[in-house]
Amino acid sequence: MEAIKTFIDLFGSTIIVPVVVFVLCLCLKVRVKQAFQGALFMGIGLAAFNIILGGLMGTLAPVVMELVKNTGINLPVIDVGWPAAAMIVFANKLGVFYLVFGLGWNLFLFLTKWTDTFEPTDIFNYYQFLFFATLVMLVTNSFWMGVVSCMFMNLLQLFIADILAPSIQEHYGYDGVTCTAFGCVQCAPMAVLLRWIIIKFRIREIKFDPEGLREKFGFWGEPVSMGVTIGFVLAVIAKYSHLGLVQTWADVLKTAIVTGAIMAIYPSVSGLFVRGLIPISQTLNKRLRSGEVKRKYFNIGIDPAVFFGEEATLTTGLVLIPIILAISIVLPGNRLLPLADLPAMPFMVIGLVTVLRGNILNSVIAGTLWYPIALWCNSNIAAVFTEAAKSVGVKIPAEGALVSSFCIGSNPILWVVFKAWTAPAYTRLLGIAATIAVYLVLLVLFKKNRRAWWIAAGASAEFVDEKLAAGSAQDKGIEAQVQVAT
Amino acid sequence: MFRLTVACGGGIVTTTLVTDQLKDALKKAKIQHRVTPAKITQIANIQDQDMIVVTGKTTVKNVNNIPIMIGISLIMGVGDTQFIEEFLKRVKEIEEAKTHGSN
Repeated sequence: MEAIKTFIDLFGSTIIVPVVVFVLCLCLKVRVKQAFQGALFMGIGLAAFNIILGGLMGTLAPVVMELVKNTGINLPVIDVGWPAAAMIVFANKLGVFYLVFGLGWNLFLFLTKWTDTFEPTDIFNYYQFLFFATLVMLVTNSFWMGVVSCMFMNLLQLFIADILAPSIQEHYGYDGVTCTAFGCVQCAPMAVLLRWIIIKFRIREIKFDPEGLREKFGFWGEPVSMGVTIGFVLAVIAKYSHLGLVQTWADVLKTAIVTGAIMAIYPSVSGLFVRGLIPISQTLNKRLRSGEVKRKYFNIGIDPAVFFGEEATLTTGLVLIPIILAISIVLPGNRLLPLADLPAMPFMVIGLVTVLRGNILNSVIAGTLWYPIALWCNSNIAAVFTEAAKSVGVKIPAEGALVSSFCIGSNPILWVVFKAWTAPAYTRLLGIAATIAVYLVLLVLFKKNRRAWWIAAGASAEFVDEKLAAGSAQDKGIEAQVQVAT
Repeated sequence: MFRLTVACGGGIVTTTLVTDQLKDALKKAKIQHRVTPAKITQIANIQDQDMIVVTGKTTVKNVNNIPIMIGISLIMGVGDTQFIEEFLKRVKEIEEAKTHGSN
């Protein structure tokens, strides 16, 4: 163990992560050339990322701290975006370890029918719960606490994926898939609650014209122009007392360009990184789709990007961007300034839109109610996540400035788990036991009455019944085959 | 030179997945190309491109009438060979129209 640790420290994550992924690819029978190329790009992505993030922080962090000092707008947590969060998580030793270990854990859960969903086809999105597991590891100062908490968070992710699968398939019209990105579905409980109220009190649903709305809010979908504008406005407010100086305006314009750069550059850098993991997802997906798997309930985890462009999802997300931005500024106790993840807002409403069956107004209301809570949670964990970022070499050049990801850190469900698993002294055991107990009770209830849960999560009764009928037919088919075989 | 934009929610994960497969197909068909990644929210106003492939279903249209194809089959791995065939057919049509236009 000690030897491995020295080895890891010596080579660093830019070498270790690609090597681990390369070996993993070979074990999964990915073509050698494809695996090697992917791993190479992964290392390049990791190396480039740290340099770029450091450079951008050098300009942005001091401005944000000036804003805090000069105006009392207390938002010292800079949103560096989900691609940056993914890199930080996978550059950490827990992240690399879980890529391999988690694959085995998921396989085990799937084969024992603990879960209906197979997630490794979406292996990249492990980082969304690994983010919180990394925090557990840092606070408890125990690698194995990190691993175990991660296994548990993964269970929660799969549980939600199982519950949402039919409504996702019905609403988005993709057969046999579900969403395994925690940041996209953590908001679903709010939607379930709102939907229950709407049905209970027979509230009439109002429909909006999505196309018109989308055009009006189109600006919020253009990452670069939005980044530049927000950076400009922030810098002007931060430096309002000496706007007469030429130097001030030089700084203002520089800040605007840098915030624009954050939006523009990450996709290409993270694109390189993701290359290493894509062959794994692709190979597993092909194998699963080839018809070898025959079972009653079966969903494949898929990257949420395929849900993004759906009319209600895209429109709800765009409408929520300015609302959430405004809320983040006026909400007492919030310390996070959504920035790099603002264009990712449509990702963060997938759980809402799915459960509320594509009703834009209801989804916007649910999001407006949910995200303040999520912002508080995010503000609370930012300091620990900043430690995680520093531990993989990210430099934050301004005293007091913190980093987080709006999309990934705003997760009240995992925040509760994080708090319970890091509680002081004996309350920690209590917390761990309580979270596991709640999960097990809910899981048993779900497995006893899938139909009711699926319908509560937004699927129509007809669709669910059809799915159940198909599932039973599949079961009978397997029995028949077994009989023939014997 | 065939100018292609591939877009998804973040312009990263599924975009890369689809880009790799389309590049392979274009290389095999010996068609010169340049592929640019994008976010779905950007594709309405894109110009100077010959085609846009979006990785998931969407109703977004391009204001400059650049044709949009939905490449979900490349993600799902079901019907992907048919999609590539259809894609190459349209690419060749567009390239042909371009050379005729310039003559």
